[in-house]
Amino acid sequence: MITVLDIDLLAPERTLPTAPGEAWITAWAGDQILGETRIDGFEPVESDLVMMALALKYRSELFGLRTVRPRKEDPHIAPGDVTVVVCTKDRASYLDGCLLSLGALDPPPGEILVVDNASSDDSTKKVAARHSVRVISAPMAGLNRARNRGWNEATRPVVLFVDDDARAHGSLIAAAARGFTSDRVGAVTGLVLPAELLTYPQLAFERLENGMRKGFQRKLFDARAHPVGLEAFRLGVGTNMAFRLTALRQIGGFMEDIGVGTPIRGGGDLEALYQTIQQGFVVAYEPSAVVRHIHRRTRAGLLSQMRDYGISFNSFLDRRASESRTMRREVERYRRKWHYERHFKRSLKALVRGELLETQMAMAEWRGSMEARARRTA
Amino acid sequence: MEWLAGSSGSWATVEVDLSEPIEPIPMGGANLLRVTAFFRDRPLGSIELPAPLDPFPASYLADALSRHFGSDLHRMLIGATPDPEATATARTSVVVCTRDRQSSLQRCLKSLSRLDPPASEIIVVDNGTDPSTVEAIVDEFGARYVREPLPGLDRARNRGVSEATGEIVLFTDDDVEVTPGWAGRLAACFDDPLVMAASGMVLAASLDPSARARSEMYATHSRGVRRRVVDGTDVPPVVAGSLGAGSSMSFRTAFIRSLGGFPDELDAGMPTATGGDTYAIYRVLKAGYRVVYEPRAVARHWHRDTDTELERMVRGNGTGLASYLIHLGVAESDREAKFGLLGVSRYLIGRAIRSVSPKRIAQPRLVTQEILGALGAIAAYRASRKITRSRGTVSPGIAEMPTPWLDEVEVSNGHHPSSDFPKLSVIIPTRGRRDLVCRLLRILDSCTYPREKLEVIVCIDGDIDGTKAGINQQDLGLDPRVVVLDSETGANGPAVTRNEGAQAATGNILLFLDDDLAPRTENFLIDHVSAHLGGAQAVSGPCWVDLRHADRYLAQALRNWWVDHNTLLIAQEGTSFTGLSSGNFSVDSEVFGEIGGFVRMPRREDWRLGYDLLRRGHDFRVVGTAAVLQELELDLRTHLQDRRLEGASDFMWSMETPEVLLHLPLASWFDKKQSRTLVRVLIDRPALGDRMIDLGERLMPFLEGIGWRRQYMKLLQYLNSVSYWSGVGGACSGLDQWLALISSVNSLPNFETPIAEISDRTAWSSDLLAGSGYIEIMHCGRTLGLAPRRWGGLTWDSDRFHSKIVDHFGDAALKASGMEQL
Repeated sequence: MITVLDIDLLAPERTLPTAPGEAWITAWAGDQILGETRIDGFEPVESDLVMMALALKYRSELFGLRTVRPRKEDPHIAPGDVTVVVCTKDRASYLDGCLLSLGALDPPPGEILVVDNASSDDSTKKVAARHSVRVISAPMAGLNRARNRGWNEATRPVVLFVDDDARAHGSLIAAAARGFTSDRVGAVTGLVLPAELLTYPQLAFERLENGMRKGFQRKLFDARAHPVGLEAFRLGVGTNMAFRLTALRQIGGFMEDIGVGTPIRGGGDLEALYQTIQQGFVVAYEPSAVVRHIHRRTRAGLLSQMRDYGISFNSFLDRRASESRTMRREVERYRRKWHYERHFKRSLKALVRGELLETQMAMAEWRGSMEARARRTA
Repeated sequence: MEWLAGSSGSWATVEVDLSEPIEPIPMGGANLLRVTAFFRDRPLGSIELPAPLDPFPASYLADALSRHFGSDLHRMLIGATPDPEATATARTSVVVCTRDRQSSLQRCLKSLSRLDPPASEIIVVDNGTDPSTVEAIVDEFGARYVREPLPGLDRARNRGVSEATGEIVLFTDDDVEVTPGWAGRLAACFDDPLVMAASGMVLAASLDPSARARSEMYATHSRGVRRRVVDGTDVPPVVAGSLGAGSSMSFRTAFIRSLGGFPDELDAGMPTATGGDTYAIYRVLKAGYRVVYEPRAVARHWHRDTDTELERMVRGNGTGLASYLIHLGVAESDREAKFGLLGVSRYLIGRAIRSVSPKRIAQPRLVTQEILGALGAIAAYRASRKITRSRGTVSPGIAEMPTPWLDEVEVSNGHHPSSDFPKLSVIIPTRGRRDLVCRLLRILDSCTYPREKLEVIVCIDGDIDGTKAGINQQDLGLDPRVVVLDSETGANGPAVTRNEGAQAATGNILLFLDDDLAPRTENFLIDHVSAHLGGAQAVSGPCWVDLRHADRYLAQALRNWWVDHNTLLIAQEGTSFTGLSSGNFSVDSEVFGEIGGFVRMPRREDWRLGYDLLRRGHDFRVVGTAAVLQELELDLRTHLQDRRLEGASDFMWSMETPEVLLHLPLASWFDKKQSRTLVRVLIDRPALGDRMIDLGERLMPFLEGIGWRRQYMKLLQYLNSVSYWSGVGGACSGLDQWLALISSVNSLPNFETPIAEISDRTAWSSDLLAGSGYIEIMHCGRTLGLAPRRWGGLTWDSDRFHSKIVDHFGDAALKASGMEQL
């Protein structure tokens, strides 16, 4: 078993919990994230040693933060200007944990909305009521429908979307709000770390697929200075993204005929972030805005997730290809590279290394993309 | 930097001081940002960022800067010594050569008028076609206008140098803006008398339009953020191009004059396009002098703003680089020029390959231009020669090579604290050097000192060449007494000869002068005496050398060693006994009697006397003004023989008083880094050392012949240590005796290693006698390691020693302080 842990180096807890196996430690300096270290297991008596090792590793970052100080800028968005929207369907137990972490946010958001997406019973409503959170119901199944319903009901200028299988880090709202440094920032995405690493598929998702990580550096993306091209997945993930309402209105919200709950099972977040950039907004990546996600625990779950990736990214490419002739040519070139690198080369390499699960993951993604292709030609 | 490949847009540049709060950056429509970070005036480096927001938020910038420069900052601030202010007193002349660029000239002169400290004079050499406009601009800023009608940048520079009155001449171009500290920082580099050239960092003033960005990416003027002092004895001089560019460089005026100026054939205005600046730096290195790259002297260059001009410039760079090397081959017949041309081809081929590689580091069109330029160099150089032959040259006023170490040391004002002169006895030990003794006597005769209070005693250790008769033939105002010791073989040695002289002397102060010296000023004797009247019981003066035309490597190395040695000695406050040199040394006669005179040893009798003086609590001083010039014997064999005698003497002395061992070169035994095997072998079999020296001596002229400077110097260092240790071996009966000596040193009661905190500069005081040869360096309560107390000839209370420690232990200190964060 692998322990995941947050440690603030500026206000260190003097005693750490026992980590029986490996420990993945996320180091913080106050509300700024520094990075992640993976170390062997330790006992509480070894706390000092662990802290020392961390300080050693992050000495330059700590020193840099202490020396280089930005002039205080007026925040464009205060934590109170944020609405948190959680879309859920028949997963009351997950939702309970999520709402628990949202309740502990410091500073708290302006409001929290739960969108009940055609749940089969009233357990969702009960959980929400226990946390005294407002529930909106979206009777038609589909994650993007639920998201659209959510932001249309929101009363604050920024909407932060969190999935029901995610756990927010305490400073999530503060960090996300900090990301909106200008009116041009249309969306802020954050870092997604594992909430637990109990089973092998969960670990494999982190180790082999690099989880949902996008690095520990703040980044600003736009169409000219820092374009992502077709690799919209570099912009962030739907488990942890915040939009300005103005930006959402301009891009027309989330596409309702794709995403979880439709035949094209995902990609609503990708499309929305891509469109935000296309509309002239800037997307900021804010690694200090951390959400911890419970990855699929079973092998079947992991493989189906990879298959959904294949379907949704393929459909994303299809949509781009239909935009213009030049785009079509570019998409074809990219698609060839994608199949070669991600599916052919990767599965072969994994086979050589004897990592069967990785081969299966690559093949699942490939099958997904082929499925989507077949559906399109049909 | 992968993001740069796909991005498009325009650049903004900004300079940020990290010691101040970071401000939001107004982008002015640009969306890419290049930030150059400084800490106060020290540059740390540049980073490039995508900056789609306007203004660019301070928090993003601070985050990127702190991540990128965190460790640099940390390292720099550990053990940071406050920078001594630029206090150069030398007169500086700024020379700006201009050709038909009135508006940028105006900008340049405006920045020059804001210099702090200001330059003594600013000379604008107009090489253009519109004299009246330029003259008006120059008048507006109160600079001097000089006209040079014939085109050629180097010709214009020569015209400027011929008009310059300062000791240091600083060159900049008309498309450059300098920062206020520029001139002061560059001038301060010349505090080291061996520095003949200094260059500064040149940043891009703007990267907009994009041609400027391309220019900066392809051929930046900056040479990095690390300060470098490059010694000509240490590098092949062809590397000059990496040390600076004409847009920000400075020279000692006299040095440029001694070259006869910049070569007319090279640089802008000629078909060769560039290269004159590099050539001048090459000459500095070739003469074995030093070049400093000082990144804190910051200037900003306005790059070419159209692609056509950029291509022409890059093509010119190629031509200039190759022409410079051709010029070396033709005018200097330097064999390394060939290797240089090979290097250039390798560099160009490398660039060409990289330009077509997927990462596209260089731009193919520019690479093509540069290659074409280099290919055209032979034709261009010929054309330049033709032009220069058809017209006369501008002479910058040819002058003798400067000796700044002599010219700039403190000159005595002949001040004497009281009218009551004590009686002074000058004692000159000699053997077989009649002409030198006579010369010294003639110089002493011209020194100011009351004749009735002065006696001169020449003590001849066996009169083998008629020295006595020679002295008596001299027609002198003073009346030297001659003492002749009866010795055919010279077995008495200098110590006994000096003691005999002292026996015969009647003065209150004894001044020992070697026969091959020449006092530099007529106040020489007064300077010695007034230091005694000021309370010192013993006074030593520096022995300078006059090796300005040193072509041979050995001469260059010895010159640099002596100049460094003396400069350090004068600058230091407390002096250890190793600073005493018996060649130019005066002592109170009572104190001399109390100590019992010089001890008879082959060498080191001077240090030993100094040691005895200090141990008895007498005051010993080095007086910079009591300087002499010495004739060095530039013979490798004699030089190595001296080392051998030193080794033998050091060993004999240490056998008597083991505690001195730690202050002698013998202490390098304890240096953990040195291999002890060689030392063991040499002590065991000193004859092996002779064979190694023989071999080395045969190899050295060969190395000099093919121009391998660095290898020559390494071999010289190696032979020095081989001779030294075989000298030790000769004096010692075997390895067992040596090891016994070492163990007795280890068990000395005061063998306590002093401890110093790296970041606390005040703890680094000098401590002359006690303790071991090592210092334990600490930081945040952790030991970082041991440092030898004399490191590279620096004693441990000097600032240079401290910065060496910080360089060496910086990383360890960072680690230690990482732990302290908690």
